[in-house]
Order: sequence, then structure tokens, then C-alpha cells
Amino acid sequence: MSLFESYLFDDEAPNLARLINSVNAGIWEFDVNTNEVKWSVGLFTILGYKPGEIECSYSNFIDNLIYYQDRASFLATINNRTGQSPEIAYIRLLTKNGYEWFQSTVQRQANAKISGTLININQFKFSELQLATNNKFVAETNKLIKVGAWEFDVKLSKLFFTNEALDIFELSQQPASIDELIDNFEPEYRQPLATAMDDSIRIGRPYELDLKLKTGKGKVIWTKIKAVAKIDNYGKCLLINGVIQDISATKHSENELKSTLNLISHKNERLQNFAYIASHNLRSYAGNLQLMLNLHEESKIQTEQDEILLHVRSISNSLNSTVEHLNEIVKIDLATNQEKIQIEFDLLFKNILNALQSNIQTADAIVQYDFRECRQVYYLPAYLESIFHNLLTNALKYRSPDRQAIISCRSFVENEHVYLIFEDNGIGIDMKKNGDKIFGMYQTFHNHRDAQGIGLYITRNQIEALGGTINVESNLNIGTKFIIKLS
Amino acid sequence: MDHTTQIAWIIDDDDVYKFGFRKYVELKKLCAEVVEFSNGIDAINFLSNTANAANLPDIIFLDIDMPVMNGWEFMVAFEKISSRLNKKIAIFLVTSDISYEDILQAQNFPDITDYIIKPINSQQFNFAFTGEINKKIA
Repeated sequence: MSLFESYLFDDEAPNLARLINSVNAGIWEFDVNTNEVKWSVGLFTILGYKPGEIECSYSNFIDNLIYYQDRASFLATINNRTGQSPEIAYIRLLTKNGYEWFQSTVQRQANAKISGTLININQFKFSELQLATNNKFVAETNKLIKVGAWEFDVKLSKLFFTNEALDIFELSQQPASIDELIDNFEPEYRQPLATAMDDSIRIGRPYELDLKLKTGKGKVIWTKIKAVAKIDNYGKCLLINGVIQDISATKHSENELKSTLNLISHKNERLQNFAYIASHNLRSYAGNLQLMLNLHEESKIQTEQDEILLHVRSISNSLNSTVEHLNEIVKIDLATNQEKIQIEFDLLFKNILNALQSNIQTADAIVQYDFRECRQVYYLPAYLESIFHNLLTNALKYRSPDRQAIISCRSFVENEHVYLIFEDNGIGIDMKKNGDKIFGMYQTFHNHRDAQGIGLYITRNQIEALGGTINVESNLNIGTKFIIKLS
Repeated sequence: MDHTTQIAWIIDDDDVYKFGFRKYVELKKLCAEVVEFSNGIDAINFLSNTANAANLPDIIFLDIDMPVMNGWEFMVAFEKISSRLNKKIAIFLVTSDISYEDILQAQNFPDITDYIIKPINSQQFNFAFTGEINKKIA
């Protein structure tokens, strides 16, 4: 036992002094009345010094060793007279290698003495700080990208959500079960999630799903939910780790992009189609005109020349009406910016029936309608009028000579879309042969003298210009059914 | 060359074109007789009827776009009956479009002699008529 060691705690029992000095911790004692200080060998050692290398005094400790910002908290533990239990403070002390973190424990003794221990916790403190920084970083990142984590303990059947996940769900407490979790999603997305979750638990299959979620506050948002299963050595699923992300913003712009793309490709298709018919039709008139003029030149007989001029006039008339048709089609796209209004199907349809009354009577047709399932639609009135008018005229024109014409029209709503069904028992169209041409321009199939091949083309353009679709089902000699998605 | 024995058919739904065609052929005295059909089915019916064996055409000008039975459908029907006809008939496909698909499809029918584009000019007319007639003489 060295001089210093024996000096330090020499008034204690020698065994205890030896014990105190051999511990890898600093132990000190302070006499409040005499200001006398005792340090153990360990205290010098943990500061990186040999015993006696630095001054063992109260003022040295307070003024030089302790980091100035930690001084107050340390003094508070010393001056606290009420505490019965040891007071703990975390302080930085200047060691030979610079400041390091220590845990200080202070205990007030009965004999006006204060004793304490100092343990180097630098490594631990650093790790803790690192962890706190990391956690903060992760939490902030998660908040930024709107990600929350969750975990499902299969054995305990226990679900755990991080705060960020709860924030996304806008829930104040953890969902108690998988079923309760699934119930937060919109009805049509519950089954896919339940199946994926079940597969994950059963066979450990990972999954990634985009689902619509109804939050605790009733907001509907798009979320992406990803999960992987942790399995034991026997392949049994122990745990499912997952994340959930709020992807509303991305999904919204994705959907917007999709619908814009859809609109543009439709428009492009219509334009291409239009360019084709324009060139095709104008070309045949141009050809005929040229032919007639050549004939006129070649012909020597007056009556013949007059006949040829008559034909030039008829070409000119047809050309005119074709240009008018083309103009009508161009106007369709321009009109889509016009104001839509709430239209009563019943009222509009009755108007059309009145306008076509004489045609219906001549055809001796029965026209039925039922708009009870969906009474109104937000649409361009001129278009709806034109759609009804064209379909009704068509049905009358192509009625079967063998039976009384029955034409029916009804409306309904499906998936928030308004549909019209327009049906007749007319001569029908050979779908295999002409199915792809039915909505084309100047396509006629029946050798009918009134057939112009323009009505259905315009109808299709009007419907598609407003983002709808028109489809047809038909059987020769049985009838035709148009299915129209208006909006 | 004896043109007076020639019968030309025009199968087209364009009345103005048919009139012009007939007038032109008459003016140029390209053949003795022009027979008009407005769609493929009437022409096929005529060809199929053995009573008409003496009045079969030498040359057919066939439009592609027609209601009821279009040019392609006519060709399918024609192939089925052509072996029973006692006459070799030249068929010219006439259309206002120059479409690559149509040219390809025309090659599927060996009975199609050639492909001409509306409006047909005097060169094409002369080529169609005299070319075919020369072939017959040779």
C-alpha cells in the first residue's frame, strides 16, 4: 500500500480502504466543516492521472476539472439536503485526454460529510447520444416521407404501431387486432389486404399494396403498405415487420397524369381518324370532279355536256355537306369547354320524343324509357340531346320489317359513373363483320337509302369528347344494344 | 383490235363515279358494254347464275369500300366460283386510298390483276383495257 493510498482513506478500516482504492471508479469524501477532501486512487486513475499528480481539493475539482456547464447540476446534488437517496448527475470532467462523461453519485452522510462516486460512462453516453441522434434522424425522415412502421407478433397476436404510423392512420390508440387494422381501409381494399396478411402469416410471403385508407378523422388517403415476415428455423412466421406510407400526393398526380394521358390519346385517336376521313372523302370528290371535267373537255355533244355539269353540281353539293359534317365534328371538341348543367333525363327524352313524334308514328314503334335509377346527369345539354336524337333515329331507321319496333332507354349509376342503355329489336348489325366499323364515319352496312354513316360517328365523338365511352352489342335480326358511359 | 366484244363491269357504290366511268369508256370507245353494280353481292349473284354464262365480263373494276359486300368479301366469294366460269376475268381493284395494308391484302388474291388508284386517268384506263386485250390476243 502506497503512501498516498494509505493517506487517502487512512482513517477507515484498512480492508475497506484497499477495496475502495482497487475499484475502477472514483470515490471521494468531503467534510463540510473542514473543507477536507479525500480521493480514492481510482479517482485519479479514471481521470488519467497517477495518485497525487493533480491537486486533490474541492476548488480544483469545482474550478478546473468539472465542465463549467455541468457545474450547476453537480453543485445542486451536493447542496440538496432533503434527499435521503443518492443524488445522481451526469457531468463532464477534464481528464488527461480531454473532457469525458461521468456518472456522479452523491450521498450526504450523517456526520456532516458528503461522499460520492464517479464512474466513467463516456462510451455509453456517446452511444446514447448517437442513438438519440439516429432516432431523431429516423423520426424526422419518416415524418418527411410520411412513413410509419408497424409490427405484428404472430405468437402473441399483438400489433404494434409507431407514432408515425398512428399519425398516418390519425388514430390515438393502437389497433387491437389485424381485423381492426384492416377495417380502417376502404371496403374494396379490405379483401386484398386480408389475403396478403394471411399469406404472410401462413407462408411468410412478403407483400406490397397500394390501398385507400379512411383515417380516424375520416380523411380518405392513398397509402402504400409493405411487409416482410420474420421466420424461425422451421420456416414458421414469428413476426411481420411492415411500413406504411402516405402516398396520396404521388397517387394524386399519378392519377391526374393517367387521366390526362388517356384524354390526350383519345383525342389523338379522334384526330387521326378525322384526318383519315377528311382526306379519304375529299379525295374521292376531287377525283370525281377531275373525271367530270375531263369528260366535259372530251365531249362534243351539248346534251352530254349539260348532263356532266349536272353531275358536277351534285358533286359540289355532296362536297358541301361533307365539309359541313367535318365542321360539325371539329366543333365537338371545341364545345367540350362549354358549361355543363344538371339535366333531367325524363324531361330531355320527352322533348326528343316530341320532336320525332311523326317518325315514331310512321314506324309504328313503341318507345319505352325508365330513368328512375338515375334521374339526372351533369352534362352538355346539346350533346345529350344529339345522342338521344341519333340513337332514336337510328333505331327507327333500322327497325325490322318483320315485327313491331320496340325501343327502350334506361339509366343507372355504377362506380359513380352514369350509364345509359339504349336497346332496340331491329335488324341488328353483324358484329363479327362490322363490329369495329360501326362508329366509323361514312360506314354504312345496310344499303339503306337514308344511311349516311355520320350519326353514330358524331355520337361517339360527342361521348368521348366528354370522357365517356360507347359500346355496342348486336345480333343480326334480333336487335342492338348500346351501352353508354356518360361521365 | 376488236373492242366491240368487250364487256366491262364496274362494282362501286359511288353513282357519280359510275356515271363518269361509263361516259369516259363510251367517249374513248374502250369497250362495247359497261355494266354497273352498286355492291359485291349483286355482281356475285350474276356471276353465279349459269343462265348468264354468255354475258360474263372480260374485265371488272372493283371498289373496296362498299356497303353490304365490300371488295375483299367479293374476292373471297369470287375465288369460290371462278373455277366454274368459262372465261378468264381480269379484276382491277380501284380505291381512293394508297394503303400499304391494301396492297399486301391484294397479293393474297391471285385473281386480282392490278391495283389502281382513283381518280383513274386516261393512262391507267388505256393500260387496263388494252393491256388485258393484248394478253387475250397473245
